[in-house]
Parts: sequence; structure tokens; C-alpha cells
Amino acid sequence: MSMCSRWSAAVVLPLVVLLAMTAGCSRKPKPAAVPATMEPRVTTEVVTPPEAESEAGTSAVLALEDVFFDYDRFVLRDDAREALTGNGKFLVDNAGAQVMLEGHCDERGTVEYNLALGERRAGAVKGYLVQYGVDASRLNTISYGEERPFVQGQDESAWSQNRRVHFVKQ
Amino acid sequence: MILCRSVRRRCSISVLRLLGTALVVALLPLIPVLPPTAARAQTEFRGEIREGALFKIPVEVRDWEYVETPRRLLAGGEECEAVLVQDLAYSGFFKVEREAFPLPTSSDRAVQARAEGTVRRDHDRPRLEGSLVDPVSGKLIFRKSYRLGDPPDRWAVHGFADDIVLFLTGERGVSQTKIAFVGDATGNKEVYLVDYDGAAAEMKTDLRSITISPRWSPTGDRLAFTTFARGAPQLVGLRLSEGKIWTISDRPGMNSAPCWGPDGDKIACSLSFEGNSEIYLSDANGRNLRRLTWEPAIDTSPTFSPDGNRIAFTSDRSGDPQVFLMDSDGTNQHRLTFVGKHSDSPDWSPKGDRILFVSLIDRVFDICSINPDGTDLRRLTPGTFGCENPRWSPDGRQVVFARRVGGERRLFIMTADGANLRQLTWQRGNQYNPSWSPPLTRQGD
Repeated sequence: MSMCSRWSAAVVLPLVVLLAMTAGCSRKPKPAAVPATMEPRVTTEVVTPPEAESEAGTSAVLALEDVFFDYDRFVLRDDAREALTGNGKFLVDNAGAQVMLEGHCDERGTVEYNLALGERRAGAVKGYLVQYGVDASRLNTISYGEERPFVQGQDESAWSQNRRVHFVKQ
Repeated sequence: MILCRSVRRRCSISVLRLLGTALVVALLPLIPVLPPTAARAQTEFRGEIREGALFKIPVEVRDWEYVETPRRLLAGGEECEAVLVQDLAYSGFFKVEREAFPLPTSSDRAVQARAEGTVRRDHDRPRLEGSLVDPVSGKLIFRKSYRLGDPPDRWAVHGFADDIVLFLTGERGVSQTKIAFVGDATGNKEVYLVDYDGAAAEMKTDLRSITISPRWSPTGDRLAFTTFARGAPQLVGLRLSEGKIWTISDRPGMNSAPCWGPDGDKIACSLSFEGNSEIYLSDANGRNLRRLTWEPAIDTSPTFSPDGNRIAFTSDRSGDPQVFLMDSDGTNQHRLTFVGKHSDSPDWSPKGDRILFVSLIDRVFDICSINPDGTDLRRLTPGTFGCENPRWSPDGRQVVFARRVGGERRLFIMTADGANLRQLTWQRGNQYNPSWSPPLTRQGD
């Protein structure tokens, strides 16, 4: 399927008028807004939540520890280096494993900055593991910024859990 | 849209317009009193203007006339004049009276206007004939006819309100606008639109994924945003009339933070395919990519000056994130803000005179504004927990932003001086990442 048709398949226009709004007066939907033909939705590309991915991973991958960061920082703390040394040893011993490094942030700051910050965190972890001896081609990175928090909440105990690089088997 | 100005102008009308202009000037930043050395100037905030400090133009709206049409003919069961009253109040310029004013007894009562309306059928379609009248002499200030739509809806009444704002203040109102935002009511993060007054909210994408930072094109017919629908964060455009999505950038890494140039043909954005997040400029179709920043730091959230010649953006090249400026060819990069531990999310005003941003001050993100030369820093939401993504209205008089209420984010609107705060969205889940449309016209209006 071409990129263009995949996009048009994935978009449906004005479908949902939300729950009773203040004035509750909706405008007439423009007929042109509804695509003439609707292809089946591409479901394989839907991102699954991190919990599901963790459960789906093998027990071997569960041996890889997530690493945590200070607010607005991507430098590796001592506890992170310790965890990554263990992860690096595991990846060297298990040469077949392909891993996605997900960068995550707490909710403070803006989504755009946090997307960039999450990428820096994933990059910092990848750099450490490559230096340890893991082949860079086995390590992919993605940033979710503040979009997929592990813990809901507006305090440091939640935020500190959400500033992490999460290891996912691919 | 052209106003009907065939009527004779009277002395009191000139006074009205003069007063309106004075009010606009009063709402804009006052003359900078701080020295131009930005780093030194940004240690203290100017005092805020709060609600009630400004004179409001008294406007009278009595019950309108409905000829062979029901009073509550709008789709939501409202009366047309109720919509107008709300529009005038939301503009921040008017004190609206539903009863007749007493006859003027002192000078402050001498400036008044009355908005009259007649709804009648014309070739079987309802029309609103709106008039602005001097209530003392009864003479006409302007009159215009508005098609109410089929079924009748609020959009035409918004048009009458915007014409009144134009006539009494010298600049058109923003009632015929919408706000795009990210909502997660379905459990996914989708793009939604809502009228500027909170009505007619609708979901515009069904990508069942994560959406980030939708931005209106200056032409009002397209949005650009980041989506994870295909796994990685990609930058796409959405043509609203057809619902078609096109790819702007799907390069490796992060494709984010779109901002349209003033002509709608260029997009500035933040991409990371060359190693770390840098700001790039491309055509709206994704071609002719040009790199603007070259720092081993985070560079993101670009926003154009209205003439397109300069860009404000966020960078942590000096340590903590702060707002920087550059020319739109990437030259002359320099730091704008020296405040808070984390200053971010800039938005350049439509008139070019102010830049909004958020700043982490006393462990709280507040909305601030500043002159592009670094002077006259103002804190608009002191001590309000968790304000995000302030965005100007197209006339630069109001600001929409996200703020936490309880555990969830909601959209709010205030005037550019921090007054007239009102909540815009009330849906389930979170609403954030707003972008205010330009004035939108509808076919046949």
C-alpha cells in the first residue's frame, strides 16, 4: 500500500461531536470532509502500551533494566551506569537480541521539548552500550517524550518513574 | 467582508471609534521602561493589569425581532441575541446591557451603541439583518445582512459580533475562529477542533495513536502536526476540507514542532535525522529542506515573526532551556529570555510586538510575555499551577493555553494582559496543545 493511501485510510473526518458542550450548537459538517471511499484501517501500526510490550517480551529481555534520569537531564547517573553495565553484558552474551530504547520524560515542560529530551536520553543510553561493545545496529531508539507516562501523578514520586529509558525487545 | 458604511457618520461615532482605538492601545504593552540590556532587565516583572482596570464600551442588546421565524431557531435552541451578547462579552471590550440604558446624565454615559437584529425569511432561508444604532438619536451606525445557514447556526451571529468589534475598536473580532488541540477522550491522542466559544467540538483525526502539536496554516484550510500513527514521530499535514493527510517529513528520528510561515508555503520544524534536534525550514510539501541551527543542543519549537523574517525558538545551548531568536535564514542567533529555570514554548504575536512563552518560576510554569528586544517582561499567570503552550488569537488580543484542573489539562482563554479568564473545554480526559485559527470564512457568508 502506498504511503498516500495508507494515510487516507487512517483518517476519518468529522466523526465525533463531543459530549454536550457549553452551548451545544454544532455546525453543519461539510460534505467534502468525508472521504469518498474508506479503506480498512491500518491497525498493525497502532502503538501498544508499554506494559503490554513488557509482558510480551521474553524473560531474557526482562533481565534488561530500565534506567532513570534527573529532571531536564540526559546525563547518565551512577545508578544508570551500573544498570547499563549489566544490560551491556547481557547484550554481548546474547548476540541475537535486537532492542528498542524508548526515551521518556515527566510531564513538566512542553511536549515538543520533551520529545527532543527523550531522544537525547535514548541516545545517551545507546552511546553507552555501543561503547561497552554492543553493535549499534542492534540498538534502535525512539522518543515518546511525555506522551506515555509509566505512572500517573503530579508529584516527584511519579515524575521520577517517568524520566527513563525503557528497554523493549523487537 | 465590507461593512455597510453608507450612513452618515456622526460626531459620537467618531468618539466611539477613538475610544475603541485607545482601548486597543491600552491592551497592548505599555511603553518599555526597562533598559534594553535584556539580561539585566529580566530580573523583575512588571505589575499585571487585572480585570476591571480598563474602561469597557457599554453596548445595549435588547430582544430582537423574529418575523415568521421561531425565537429559538438556532440548532442549539438558543436565541441569536444570546450568542451576540456572549461574543461581545468574550471580546473583553464591552459591557453588555440587556435592558435599555437610562438616558445619559454624565459624560461616561454618553458613549453607547445598541445592537439590533431582525430575523426573517428571505426566499425561504432565514437571514439576520443586524444593525448598530446610536441609542440616543436612534440613528443608524451600520447595517448588514447575514445568512443564518441551513439549519440556522451561530456562525452568522459571530459575523455580526465581529463587525461590531471592527466598527467600535477599529479591528475585526475573532468570533469566527476555531481552536485546534490534542484531546485524549478516546484513550488515544487525536486532533480536535472547537469554536472559539467552546461550541461545536469535534474530533478531526482517527489515527488511534499519539498526536503532538497541531498548528493552523495562516490560510485556515490546513493543519500540520506530529503523529506516531506509523510507529515513529512523523510530521504530516491535514487538508481539512478533504480529510487528506500528506507527509511533510518522515526522516529517521524525530519530526516535530511545525510552524507555518506567514504565507502558508513554508514550514519551520525540529528534526533529528542529522544527529540531534535542529531547526529546519522546508516547503509545506516537505521539499527544499534547509538547516537553520547547528548546535549540539536541543533546538525546537520555532515560531515565525509575522513578517516571516525572524524565528523565535527554544534551545538549551546555554544550559537550561531558554527562548532564542534568529533571522529566518539561520543568522544572528541570540538569546532572548533570561528568566526561570526553564523557558519554553514561544509564540510570536500577530502584530509582531510581543512573544509569549512559559517559564518555570518558583517551581511553577507560568505564562509570560516579552518584547522581541528582551524588554518589558510580564508574568501573566503568576502562581497558577501548570500552564502550557500559550498561543495568540489572530488579533493578538487574547491567549489560549492549557492548564491543569485537578489532575487533568483543560484549555483556557484570557486577554493578553491576563484578565477575563474563561475555561474553553470541558470534555473527558485531557485537552492541550492549542492552536488558534485565523478568521475562517464559510462559503456563502
